[in-house]
Amino acid sequence: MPMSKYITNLFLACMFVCNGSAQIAKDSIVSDSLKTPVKFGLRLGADLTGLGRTLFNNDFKGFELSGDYRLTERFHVAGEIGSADKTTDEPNINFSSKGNYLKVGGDFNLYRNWDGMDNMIYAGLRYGISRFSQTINSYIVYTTNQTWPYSVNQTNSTYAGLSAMWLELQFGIKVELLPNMFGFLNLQLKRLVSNQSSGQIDNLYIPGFNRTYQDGQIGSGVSYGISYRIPFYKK
Amino acid sequence: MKLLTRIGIVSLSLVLMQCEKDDICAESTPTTPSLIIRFYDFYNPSELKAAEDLNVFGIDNSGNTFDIIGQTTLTTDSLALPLPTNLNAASFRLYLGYLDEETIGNGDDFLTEFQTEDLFVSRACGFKTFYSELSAETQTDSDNWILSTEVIQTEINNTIHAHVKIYH
Repeated sequence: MPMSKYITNLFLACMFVCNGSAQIAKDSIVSDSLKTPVKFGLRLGADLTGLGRTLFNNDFKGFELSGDYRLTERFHVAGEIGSADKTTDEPNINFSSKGNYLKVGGDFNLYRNWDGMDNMIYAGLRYGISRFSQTINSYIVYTTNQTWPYSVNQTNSTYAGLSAMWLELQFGIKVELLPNMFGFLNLQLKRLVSNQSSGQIDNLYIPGFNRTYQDGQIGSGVSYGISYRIPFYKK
Repeated sequence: MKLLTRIGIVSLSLVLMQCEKDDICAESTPTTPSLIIRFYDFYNPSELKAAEDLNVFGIDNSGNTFDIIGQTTLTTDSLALPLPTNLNAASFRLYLGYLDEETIGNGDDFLTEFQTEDLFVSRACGFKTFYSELSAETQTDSDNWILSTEVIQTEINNTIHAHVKIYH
């Protein structure tokens, strides 16, 4: 029967191809042993956006340190720790937010390096937690009719013990500029998981999460800086 | 890489979409409420009675009057008066039969007192004032057109319901 013969031939051809590709894969594993070993170590970094704003902008004081540790060739556990003291001036309200934050998670390298190179184009996930206070420095009462004289109200009401938690997606690059010295840049997309405000006033800025939005849980951020890897071993 | 680009574009548009609304205080947002007065017939207290050719001025601390509803006269049975946000009293002069600056009709001084508390609204709107313990009276003169004043709501936190009834 020509039909069944055709199917058998196809099956055999498939067997041959599959076998062939398996052979190729095996070959590449063999050649892998000649590959330059990957360095494992703790990479510590400093954010330069915050440093720049601290130096050149009176409204912000803060820093962020980052770290990651390679678990496998492509996966790193990673995290950031930081502090921010930011004064925001809006047309009707001026407030300061002050606090510390911690973000823990991991980065997965989407980029396949050439032999001997160690760069990352990565997607990362973080869980962030922040504890902070918010102070209202001054405000204007909003009225649609300003025929009565009005003034800017100076206050100093501080709401302490505020906290927030969020999930964060990071997309970024880490490029080895010099041996073990890296430059990094990432974009962060965040979503609040919990947001404990004072009850009287919304949390308008959360250290680590950044600006909040009235009707949303989404936040964003950007970070760039330099990092150094303390090499532990090669594999 | 294609996936990464796509995720990047989606994230960016999500962030951008969020930006608009918070930056301008929307007109529909309830902010500092005005004092709502309704005019009733003194001789038939359950019936509304429009005040004819009404003009209203604010009176500042030194006794000078200033425009408060614009240079118009109204014939209305309901009036919204803005209150100051940083004082605990406000005086108004209500003219009935105000035709022009020559014919100003009959002016009565309407005095209010209240407590204020500033409440947070939003990033864009800032705060609004909440008024409580409202009291109102009409100063007696030789010819009052306002015959009686009644506070029906001592708390002013919206402009849906009237706060004061004026009988004339």
